[in-house]
Amino acid sequence: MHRRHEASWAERTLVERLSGGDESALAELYDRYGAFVYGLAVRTLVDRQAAEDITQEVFVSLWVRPERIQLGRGTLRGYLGTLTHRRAVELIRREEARKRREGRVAREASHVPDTADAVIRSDTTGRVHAALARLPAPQREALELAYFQGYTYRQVADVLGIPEGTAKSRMRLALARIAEALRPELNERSERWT
Amino acid sequence: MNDDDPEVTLDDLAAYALDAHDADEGAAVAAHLASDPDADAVRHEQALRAAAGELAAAIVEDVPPPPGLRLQVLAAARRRRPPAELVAGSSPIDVHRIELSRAILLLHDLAPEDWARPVDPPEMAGWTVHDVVVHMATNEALLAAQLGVPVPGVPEATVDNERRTAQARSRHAGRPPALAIAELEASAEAADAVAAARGEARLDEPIGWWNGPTATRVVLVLRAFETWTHADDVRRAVGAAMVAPPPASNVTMAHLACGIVPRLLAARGAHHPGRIVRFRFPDLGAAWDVDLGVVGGVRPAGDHPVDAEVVTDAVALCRGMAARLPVGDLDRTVVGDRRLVDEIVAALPDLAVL
Repeated sequence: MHRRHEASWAERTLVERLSGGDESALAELYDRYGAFVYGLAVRTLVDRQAAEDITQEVFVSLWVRPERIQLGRGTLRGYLGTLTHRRAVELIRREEARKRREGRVAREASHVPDTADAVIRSDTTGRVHAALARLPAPQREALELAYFQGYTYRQVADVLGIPEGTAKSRMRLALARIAEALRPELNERSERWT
Repeated sequence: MNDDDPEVTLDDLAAYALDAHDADEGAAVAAHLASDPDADAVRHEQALRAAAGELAAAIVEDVPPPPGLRLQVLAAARRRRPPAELVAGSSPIDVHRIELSRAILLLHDLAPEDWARPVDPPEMAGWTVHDVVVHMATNEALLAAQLGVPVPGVPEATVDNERRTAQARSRHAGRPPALAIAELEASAEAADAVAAARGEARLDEPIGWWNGPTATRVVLVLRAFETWTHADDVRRAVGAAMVAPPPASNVTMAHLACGIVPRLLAARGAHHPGRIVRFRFPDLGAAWDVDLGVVGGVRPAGDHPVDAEVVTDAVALCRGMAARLPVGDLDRTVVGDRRLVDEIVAALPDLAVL
């Protein structure tokens, strides 16, 4: 039986309860996704205190402005991923700007994370893993640096020793392949980004 | 969207979707997207960003936050936006929707090894978590069928609870648990859609149920109550803490539970026409007077004297009614006819066999 991995009826119900001011819904949302949000924040920021702050920001923002929650594409977990990542990277950018003003050295490249060992949770995660595994190494490298290390494309280019346009292009090709693998779930027509 | 647009390219959109621009460039892309919300660029960016989110969802391992963060988050949220006040119980339609959705989300989080774990209710001797979910699914499929939206692929036609469950367990034996979840989810969504479409005005319409024609409102709450009970059965089996329904749902369930008390007594041959017991539930801020001679004879608590007043926890009362809490463990304070209250408490678990 094929199951779409857009936000399910059950997930939409949880969000509706949140919108209605049901505090227990926020608690359930945290209990279900808090470890993921915190995990993504830790992975991106490394600093655990900062990760706690981002985690709190994410859930408070969901509670305060539930009308902003967009479940049109993908899962609720995926949506929380986009929210968390954006806030974490905003923090990184602010820190970098502050360090530049203070004349401090930009952060150095660190170990590229291994995405190979994560738990396969569902058909969707299986497809993502399969798509990642098929990526050419340069594309995968650029994607991982940009997304999981929070680098700008310029920093990715710097770390990899490639032109900035090439860095952006590799990122686009990698992400487009992920999106293509998820096309039914993301409710996307056959568009070509490659 | 194409590379002819000098302002924002596909590469820019991908970098933006990955949050891989610096602040100024990101702001420029955002402004470009905001300038034409209907443009292809917006749709492309949303799809790419959603893909990035699913990438994170697939790759990132959960890391348990510090234990104190949960309370901190909830307190911070409460300060920013007060929760809705609990004025009355939720509609049976909402109670059903909420409990089914909560159970489904729980089941999606189970690890592969959880499905073969044994469950502990005595009436489910030899059952596993998978069996319980099959039981939940087949009963929800019955609700959907009785509401006129039978779920494709569910052949069980009998209304008899035990026979239906036996048939479903046989059908699902050796099959992936995901199929049982899918049946439960499809049934719940279908039933919810019909119930919501019919609305409050038709909640008193009877539908066929285990003991004959039963008001839709009662069946919806019973389904929610049963689902909550079995979700907790699953939680115990996998070592998770039991979870009570939201307070508004508790009010509705407790109200129905009180209304069933006269029937439980009558099934034991105990008839107390005209006698009133007042139930006070501090955990809900609710209190009702129950006429023991009338099934469903529940009114808001008055000021007049009653035969007995019992103060207890509503969640515990419901668990006692589900035979998930030994009635000897039901803490209560009683004023008035203590023997009458003891008789009621002793009868609570009979709901499971009614």
